[in-house]
Amino acid sequence: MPAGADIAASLPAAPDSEAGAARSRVSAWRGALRFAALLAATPALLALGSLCWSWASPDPQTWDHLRQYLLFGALGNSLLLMLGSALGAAVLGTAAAALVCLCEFRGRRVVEILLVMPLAMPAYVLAYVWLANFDVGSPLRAFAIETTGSAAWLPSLRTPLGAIALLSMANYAYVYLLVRARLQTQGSNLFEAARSQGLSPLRAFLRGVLPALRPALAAGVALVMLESLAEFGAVSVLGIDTLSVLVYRTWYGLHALPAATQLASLLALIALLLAPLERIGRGRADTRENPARSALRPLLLGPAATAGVLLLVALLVLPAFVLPALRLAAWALQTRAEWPRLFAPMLATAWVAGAAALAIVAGGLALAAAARLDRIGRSLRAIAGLGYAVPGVVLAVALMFVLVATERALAAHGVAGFAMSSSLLAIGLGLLARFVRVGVAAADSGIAALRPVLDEAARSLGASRPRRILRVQLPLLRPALAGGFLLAFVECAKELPVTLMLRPFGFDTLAVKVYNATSEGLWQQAAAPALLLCLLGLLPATALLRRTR
Amino acid sequence: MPMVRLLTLLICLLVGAAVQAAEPVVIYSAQKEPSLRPILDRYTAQTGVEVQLLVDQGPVLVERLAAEGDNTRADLLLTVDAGNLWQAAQRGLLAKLDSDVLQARVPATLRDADGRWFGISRRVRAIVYSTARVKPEQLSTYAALAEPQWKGRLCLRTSKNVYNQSLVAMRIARMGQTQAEAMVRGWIDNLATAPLSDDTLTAQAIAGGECDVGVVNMYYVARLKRAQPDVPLTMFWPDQAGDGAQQNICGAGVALHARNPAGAQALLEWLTEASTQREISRLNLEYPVNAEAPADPLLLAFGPLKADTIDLSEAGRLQPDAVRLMDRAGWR
Repeated sequence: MPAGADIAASLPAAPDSEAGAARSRVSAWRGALRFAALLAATPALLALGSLCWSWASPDPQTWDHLRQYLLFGALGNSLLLMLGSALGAAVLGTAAAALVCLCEFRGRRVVEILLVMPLAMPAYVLAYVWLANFDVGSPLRAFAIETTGSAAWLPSLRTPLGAIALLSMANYAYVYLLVRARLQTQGSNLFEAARSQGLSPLRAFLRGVLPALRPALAAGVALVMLESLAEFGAVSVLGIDTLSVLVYRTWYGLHALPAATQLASLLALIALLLAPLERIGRGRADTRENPARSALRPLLLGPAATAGVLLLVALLVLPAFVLPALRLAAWALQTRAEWPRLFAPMLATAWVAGAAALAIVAGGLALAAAARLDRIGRSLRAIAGLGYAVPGVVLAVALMFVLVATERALAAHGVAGFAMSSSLLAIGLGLLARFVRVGVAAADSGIAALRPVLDEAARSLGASRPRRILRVQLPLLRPALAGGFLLAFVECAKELPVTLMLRPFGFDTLAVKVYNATSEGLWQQAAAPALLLCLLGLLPATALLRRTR
Repeated sequence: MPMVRLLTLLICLLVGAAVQAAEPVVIYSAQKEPSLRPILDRYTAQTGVEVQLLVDQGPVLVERLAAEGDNTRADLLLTVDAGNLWQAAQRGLLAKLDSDVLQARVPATLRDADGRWFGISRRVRAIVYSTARVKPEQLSTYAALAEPQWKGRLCLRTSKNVYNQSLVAMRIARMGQTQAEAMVRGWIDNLATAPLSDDTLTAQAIAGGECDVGVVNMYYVARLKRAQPDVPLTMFWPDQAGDGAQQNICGAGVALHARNPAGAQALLEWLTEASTQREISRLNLEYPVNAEAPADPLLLAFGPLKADTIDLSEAGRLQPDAVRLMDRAGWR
């Protein structure tokens, strides 16, 4: 019997119920679950359907050109960035989570929060701040040129390796959060069990703990890979031509929207190929019989080790968050007159991202649960998740076409005046289509860690199905779902193309404010809204960490 | 009562029902709000007409206009280059305007021959150079930047940028494919560093000693000079003995299915009025299209300008050719 059986509703009828009534209750429950999953997948289905429709307008001339000059280089860069940043994020995220969950040292509580901060920094803001301060045209390079005649010997971010470093810094927190959630419940016990067999701390971790982390690690790595695949802002600031950059170029430069959309569906295809990785992520967790959660952290670090650990943390968090944030703050001070005008966008960002994140978590839970019913459920989950790999602008334009067509159809039947394609509902649909996968990943890893023993115990005590779901399963899922909410909130707050394209007139979010300034090269003016965006992401992050400490 | 109004507002926001006000004008704009809103606020203050903005990239707006067809809410399409206006006109999305006022104020080379779009301000894409390491006598034409003396001294913005795409399209129109491609290949050979992601970075790279010359829109340099008067950079107008420096427009056209075409035309005419033009030049550091309006002193400081008067439609017509050329030449 799979774990999280009721959420999955794959249980046989409870033995103490009358068979007929129980069966109809089960099928009603399954029907409701299927409907909820379909609802959650609908925005993504609409957008992806609209993407596939582009294949009806073949454009061999554009494809010939792309193949001859750009396609393979871009594909190579995309794969390189995807794999490189996945590796970087896996190592950084796992090490960070192991540090705060398995080690006790002075300052651990602060470190725990510091490590999640880079999540709140949009990758393209990070890229620009680094570029402007340490790369081409920066005082540092100007000084190098003055003293040594050249700055070519300084490392540059504007290389694939630089981009990998940047994306790893920007995205490792996905892995950190998911792995940390898993380590908190099992880490200490597993670690001590391995240690008791005489293994060194490192070996104990690698042999005793890491296998149990596989699902969380796989889910996090899959998110990082897709995030890198769809990344546009940061890689274009760094000048690395990836597939998503090529999508924009094909549309905006060659005015070949169908070919651009076809390229984007190629990205969705790559995402499909990552499915085996996620199967690992959904594999059953190694749930031991002794569930008692140990609050003790088995490795007590001495002063020297603490100093070393803090140095390593600083080496990660300073470049990934603190230094760029300080730079932004210095710029923001120059635009103080603008500050009052950021209040409304901040509120707008907070509640749009909050509402969308709730929908994403609920939708993700429905999809993850429905996927445990049957093949249809699994397909829905797989398809709904593809939106995460498609560059936001393509997804947004695909959805915009659908909404505009609906508006026209309504107008043709005399129902005019509805501007669905610029409304909060449209933003919500777009964000759900783009990010529902985040909710799915959180729900999946939560369900995988559910221990059937508890549920069976509740059942043997005569608890009804709704009662077991409400009182046993959902509370057990709460940490995972809260983590999903946080990730989804931050994603939605940072998101640009969907919000920009589908928002009502004059509805500004912080990301829109950042874009307004950066697209004109006015990075100083972008600093205040960018910094606010970081702070807004930090609030739920720290709240979550406090709660689940 | 306030609850009811609040509820109505919320429903309107949620499903996007259009709130009817006194004939507002809706602009689909590729010009970002910070550059446009101060001007539009003046219009609202003078006339009482509300202006609503939907801001996005030019190609996104054109697709949207096309998809919405006769159900569009756009009254005016405003873009920051002629190429996207040409595209919109080509796809039959813009109305033909017969306005004596616009024809008198906007020179023929800065508007569509059929009156479907009109320039509002002019931007010149020309050479920026380090005043510390380059003498203006060393500079002459765009093509001369391909000469060996600039090897390792040139900085360019990425070819994904529409301004560069228009620049190359215009070079193709003036020099022909072959020569334009040879020139672009020469530029790429001379690059000091891989193409940069925006004009500001390009200018900063030159100021920082990374390279000595570059090609940017003049307002980026004017902006730097406004913030930092002693920045060791200035503009050079190329091809002054020939066709002139390449210019493009920020311009607009009335949507074919505008609900408020009269309002859109009135706004467009107001935007080309001399007093508005002067204000646009002051705020955004662009050249007016209306000859009666003076340019901002920061622009005048760059010296007298001879701008190429080639038909701006070429920027749109030849843009895909230009992009393919840049791809062949390895301009990333």
